[in-house]
Amino acid sequence: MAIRKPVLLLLAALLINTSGAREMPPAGGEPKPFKVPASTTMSLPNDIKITLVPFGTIPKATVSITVPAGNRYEGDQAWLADLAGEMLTEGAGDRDADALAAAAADMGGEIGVGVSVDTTSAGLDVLSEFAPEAIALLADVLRRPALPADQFDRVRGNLLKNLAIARQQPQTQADEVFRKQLFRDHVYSVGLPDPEALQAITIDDVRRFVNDNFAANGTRIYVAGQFDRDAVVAAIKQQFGDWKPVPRRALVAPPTDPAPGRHFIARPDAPQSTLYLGLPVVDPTHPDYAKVSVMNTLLGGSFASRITSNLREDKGYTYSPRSRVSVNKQSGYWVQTADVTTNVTGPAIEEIINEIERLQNEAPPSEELARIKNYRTGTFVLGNATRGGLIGQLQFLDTHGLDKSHLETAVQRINAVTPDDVQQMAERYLNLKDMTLVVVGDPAIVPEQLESVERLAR
Amino acid sequence: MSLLRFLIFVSLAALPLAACTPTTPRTTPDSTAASAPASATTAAFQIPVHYRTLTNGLKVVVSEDTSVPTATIAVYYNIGFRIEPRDRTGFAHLFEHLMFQGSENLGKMEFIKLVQGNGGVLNGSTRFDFTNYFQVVPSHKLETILWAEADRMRGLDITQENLVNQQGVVKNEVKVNVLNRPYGGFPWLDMPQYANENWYNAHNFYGDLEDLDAATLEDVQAFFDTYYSPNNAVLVVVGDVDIEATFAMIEEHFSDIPAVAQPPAADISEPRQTQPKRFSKADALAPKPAIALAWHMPKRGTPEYFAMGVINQVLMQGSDSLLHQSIVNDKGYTDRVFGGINMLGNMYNYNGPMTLTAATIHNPDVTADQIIDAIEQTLDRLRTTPLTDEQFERAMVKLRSGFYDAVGGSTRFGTADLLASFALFDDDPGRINRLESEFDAVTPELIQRTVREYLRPTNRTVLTIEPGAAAAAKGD
Repeated sequence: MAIRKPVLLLLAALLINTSGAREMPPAGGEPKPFKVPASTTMSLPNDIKITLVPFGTIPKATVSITVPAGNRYEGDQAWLADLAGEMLTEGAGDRDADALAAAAADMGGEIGVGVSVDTTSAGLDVLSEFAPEAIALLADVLRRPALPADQFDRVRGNLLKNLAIARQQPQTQADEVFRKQLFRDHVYSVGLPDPEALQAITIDDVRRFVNDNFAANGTRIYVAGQFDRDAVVAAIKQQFGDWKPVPRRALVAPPTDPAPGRHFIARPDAPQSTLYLGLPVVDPTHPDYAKVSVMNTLLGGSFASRITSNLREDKGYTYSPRSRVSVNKQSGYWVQTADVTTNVTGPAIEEIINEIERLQNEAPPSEELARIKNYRTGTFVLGNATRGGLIGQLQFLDTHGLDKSHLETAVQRINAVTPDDVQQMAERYLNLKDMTLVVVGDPAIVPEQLESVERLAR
Repeated sequence: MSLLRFLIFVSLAALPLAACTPTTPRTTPDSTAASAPASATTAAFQIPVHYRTLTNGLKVVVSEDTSVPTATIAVYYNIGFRIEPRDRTGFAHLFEHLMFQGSENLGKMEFIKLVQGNGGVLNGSTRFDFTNYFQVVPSHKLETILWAEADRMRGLDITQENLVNQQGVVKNEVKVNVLNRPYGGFPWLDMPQYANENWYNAHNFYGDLEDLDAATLEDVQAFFDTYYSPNNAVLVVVGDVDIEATFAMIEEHFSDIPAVAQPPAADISEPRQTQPKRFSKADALAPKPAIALAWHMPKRGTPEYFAMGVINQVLMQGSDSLLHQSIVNDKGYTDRVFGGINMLGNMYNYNGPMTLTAATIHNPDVTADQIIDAIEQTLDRLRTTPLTDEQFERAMVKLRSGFYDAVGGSTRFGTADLLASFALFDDDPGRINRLESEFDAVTPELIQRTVREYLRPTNRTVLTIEPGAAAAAKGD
C-alpha cells in the first residue's frame, strides 16, 4: 500500500507508469579535502609527553591528562583504581570537594576522572582563556589529592551502590562472563568486584595506590581546541616539570589464543535475551587490523550492515544489534551483541552464524564494500572534528604505540581494502568453532533453544 | 531511530557515531544537556542565520560553517508524541521508524544505504513537540540528501510486512530501554505520566505493547496525511555550503510538495497544581531506592522561564551545584543528582507544559522524606537569600560553556536543533543569537520570585522507586 499525499497520488503513479523506472538521487558535487588537524608533541625530561592540537572555531579548550594507573596496577584488589579515581575529586591542593568543583565551574567545566585498564585520566573542558588555570587545577588533583579519610566510607558506599546497579544490567552480566572466558586470569578479564572485597579496601590502600602509581613517567598531557600555546606550555612545565618517576610494571602479555565456551546466565522472566558472540582477533598494530575493522563494519558494525539488516530490518528480532572490534594494548576481540526477543533467541543466533558463513564463503559485492568504505571515511572525518574526538584518536595511538602518521594514512588503509580481503578476514579470524557464546535470558525458555545451535563449539 | 533520550549534545558529538542504534546502555539515566547563551564578551561568535519560507509553507533555515567539510541536514515535523491517537500510545515514535521504511523512489534500507554509502550518518528521534530526521554528510553530497528527504516528505510506500517488522523493532526498543533494565523509565518516561493531568502530556509516550501491535496501515496513512506536510515542518541545513545554491536546491526539490490544511491545535494545557503529589512505583530489577521530584515550569519564553534556566544550573547541573553539595557531599545520601528542564531534550526544544526534574538513586538507609527535606532546605535558602554575584556569574559561565559545546560539535546537531526549534515554535530562528540578552535580563530578585512561585511544594510531584522483586510482587 502506498502512503502519499492524496493530491500527488495520481501524478506519482502516472510518473512511475510512464517512465517505468524510479528517479535516481542526484550525485552531488566534488568532494572537498579534509586533513586531520596538525598536532605537535614534545617531551619533558621526566618522560611526560605533551601533545597540543590547536583546533576549531569555538572558544573552548580541553585538557586531558592520562597517568599509567589503571586497573592493571591494582593487584588483586579489583576496583582499587576506580576507588582512587573517585577520591581524587574529594579535595586537592588547598581546596575541599566543594571548592574544587566551584573552581572548575568558574572556568565553565567540571573535572572528569576516568579509569581504564591501563590508565587513570583527569580532564577538564573550559572556556579558552582558562586553559592554563585548568592545567594547574588538574595538577592539584593528580599530584596533591587530599584523599580525606572522613569521606572514604561515603565514596566507597557510592561505588558499592553502582556495583549493585551494574550487576542488574544484562549487558554487564554478559560482558563480564564473556571477557572472563577470553582472558581467563589476565587483568583484561577484570569485571565487577565481589562486594565484600570492595568493602575491604581501605583509605590506606587508596593512598598507597596513588603514591605508587601517580607519577611522571608514562603520563601524557593532551590539550585541544583554542588556547594560548605559550601560556599552556609554560603552565605544564611549571605544574608537572618536577614530577618524579616511579618504577612501573610491564604489561603481562594477554592470552590471544581462542578459548571457545558457551555460557547461559539465568534472568527469570526476562523479555529479551542478551547475546554476546565473539573471539580474539588482532590488535591495532597488526597489518590485518584495518581489514578486520572494515570487515566488521560490513558484517555487523553499522546500520546498513548485514547482521543488522537481517536481525532488525528483516526479522524484527531486536532493536540494537551491533558488532565491534574491542581493543586493549596487545589485544583485540570481535564481538556481536544483541538484545533479542526471548522466544527467537535460537533463531537469532542461527542468523548471525548464517551471515558470518555467507561472508566466509563469498566476497561481498564491490558496491556494498564501497558504501561501507565511504561510511568509514565519513565517520573518520567526524571523529576527528571535535576536541574530544581528536584527543581520543591521539590516546589510541599512544596506547598502542602507533606513530602519528597512522592517523594521516587511516583513510588510505580503509580505501585499500578489497572484497577478497573482507572474505579472507572473515575466514581467517571468525572461526565459528573458536567462538564464545554468552546468553543472559529466561531459564524457562532459552536453554532449550541454545541446545539446537550446532555450528558453534559446545 | 529512537525516542531519543540518548541525544545529548555533548556526549553525542564525542561518541563514535552509532547512527540508528542506541549508544551503549548506561547504568544510570543521563542528565539533560546544558545549553545556553553566547557571551556578550564574545559577540563575534554569532551563528549565521538565513531564513526563508517556501510558498508551500516549508520553513527553511541555512547556516554556513566551514570548519569541517560536511553538511548537516535536519527536517523537523511539528508533531511530537504528545499529540498521538488516544488508543495508539507510542504511535508517533513507531511512525518515526516507518519514515525509514521506504518512499516513492527509495525502497526499504535504501535511504540508510544512501546516507551511509555517501559517507554520512543519520538518525531520527521523537520528542514532546516534534519528530526529527537528520543526517551529516560530506558537504558535496548535500543535494543527494535533500532529494531523499523531499522524496519521503512527498509520500511513503510502506507494506504491511514493513509495518509488522518495525512493530517488532519498536517493541524490542521498549524492552531494551525500559522493561529489561533497572530504572528503565525512571524518571524520563515515568515522571510526565505522574506530574501531568492532561492526557496529551500524561500518557506513555513509548507506548503500551498492545497499542503498538494494534497499529494499522490506515493509521499510518492518516498520520502521514495529517502531519507530514511542508507547512508543518522546518528544514535546516548547517555546514560548509553555499547559501544561495542551497536555497536553490531546496526550492527545486521541495517547492512542489503541496501544503495540507492543519487540524486545529489540541488543548495541551495543564491546570495549575495546588497540592503536592506523591507516587510510588515498584521496580523488580532495581537494587536500590530512587526518588525524583518535578515542578511545572513557567511558560516558555517568559522572564521566569529564563530564570528557571539559571536556577537549573545553580541547583543541579554539575558537582558545584547546590543539591550536589548538599545531598551528595554534605549528607552523603547518594553519589549524584541528575535531571534538568526537559529530560528528553533541553530547555529550548519543546513547546508546551514541561517540568524541571531532579532525580537520584540513593542509599537504602536514607528515606525519601529525608531527601525531600534536604532539597526543601536548599530551596528555602534560594527563597530567602538572593544569589551572590559569584553564584550568578558561575551559572552564566556554565550556560555559556554549554552553549559553545552545543553549537560546536562536529555533527552540528546542536546548532541545527536550536535553529529548527526556534523556527518551528517561534518562527524566529535568529533567537539563537539573542539568548544571551534574554538570560542577561534575569535578576537575583526574579530568581527568588521564581523559586517561590514555581518551586513551591504545591507545584511538586514526587515519584519514588521501591526496589526489588518483593516490592514488585506486592504491587501486583
